[in-house]
Amino acid sequence: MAHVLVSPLNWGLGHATRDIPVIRTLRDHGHDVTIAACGNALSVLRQEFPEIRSIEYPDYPVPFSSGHLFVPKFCAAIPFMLKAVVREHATLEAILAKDRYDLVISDNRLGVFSSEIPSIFISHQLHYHLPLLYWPAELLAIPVNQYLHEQYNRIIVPDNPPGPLALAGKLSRPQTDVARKRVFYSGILSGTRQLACTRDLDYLIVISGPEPQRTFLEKVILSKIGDLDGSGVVLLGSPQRPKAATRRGNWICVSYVSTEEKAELMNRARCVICRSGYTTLMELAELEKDRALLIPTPGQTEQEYLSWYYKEKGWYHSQDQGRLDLLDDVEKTHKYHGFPAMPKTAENVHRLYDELLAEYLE
Amino acid sequence: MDDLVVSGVIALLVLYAGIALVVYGILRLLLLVVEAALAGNYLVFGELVTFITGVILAYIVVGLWLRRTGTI
Repeated sequence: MAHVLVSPLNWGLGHATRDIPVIRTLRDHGHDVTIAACGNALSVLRQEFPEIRSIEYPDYPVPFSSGHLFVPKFCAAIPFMLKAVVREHATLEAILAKDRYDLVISDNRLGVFSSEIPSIFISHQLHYHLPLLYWPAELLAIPVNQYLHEQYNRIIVPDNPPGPLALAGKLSRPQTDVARKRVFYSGILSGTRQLACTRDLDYLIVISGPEPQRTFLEKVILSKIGDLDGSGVVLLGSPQRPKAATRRGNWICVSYVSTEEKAELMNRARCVICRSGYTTLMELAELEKDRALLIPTPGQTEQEYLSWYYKEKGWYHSQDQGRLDLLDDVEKTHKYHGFPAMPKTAENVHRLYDELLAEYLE
Repeated sequence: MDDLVVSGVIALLVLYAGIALVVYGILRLLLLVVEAALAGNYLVFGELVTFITGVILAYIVVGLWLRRTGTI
């Protein structure tokens, strides 16, 4: 029995939730797992695996901008992030010194690697996409990424290999020999499972993202949902408000729900209206949703790229937050057909263990 | 990790120095344009505006070419 340290980044819940099937399969194979995370990511994993040992392990704040100044703000934040990564790495060495570990799995935490213990990096972004104006920065990011990838034995990309089924498009395409030698395409990894329930909900609207963009989207959505025929649920993504649900005609608005409740609502919904975060998109793929409206968070270049990419592929309709016309945009979702058929998490995680993880653990 | 710190700091210094240099160059160029316009030297003014337009176009074309070839 091996001992694995799993450490997801706490920038939203996406990193933690996609690690759930990986942790589950490690446990199913009889391995000991320790979770090292912080904030909501740690809470979600503690809730999912109450029996597993967990360590509070701080990371660094999200350098997302509230508008279109993501790149300049990100550049200004680099020294602070570098300092945080150094601190993160020093903390890891202290954690590893206290116990025996056989493998370290870092989900997008740049300082979580060891020179002594095999280390694996999970990321769907081998390449960063920036607006055309910033192409020199995108070019500069290639050697930086190469340097970071060199610190890991392998890189798990939760996406299908480059080609017609690649969900992350150019983001998951390796650009250096370092990445090419290390990459393992696991296919989608989602903590959300298909449930045996009827699709009795016309719409599920998931409002999320950093403030003030979350509030802006909430205002736009709530002023327009009355125009839509049918019933639906709006998740406001605002855990600080009281949890009580409020009714607006055929609609129910809830400030927040647990991950299980959200998974159930996603299963029941015929059309999902949400941000284009990669983990949410893997959920759409896992649940075989053929109708969705994607609204990228302004300034988040990854979400903007994925929305554009899916529209180009004819998979899902997307619309900028500022140009959203709910009735018209929901109507347009009928012209798209959803993701093509692809292997699901259960199959992918099985292959991931057999073809990659077992090599380090057995 | 020490390698990461050293090379990271060097890369950052080069990045910020590059940004400062480009911003300084843009400001100097704009100053020349304004001076030429105020002095009524429309030939120099036209040449500078043409040069700036050419540089912007070349910058965009290089970016598009890098996208098209899959480099970025």
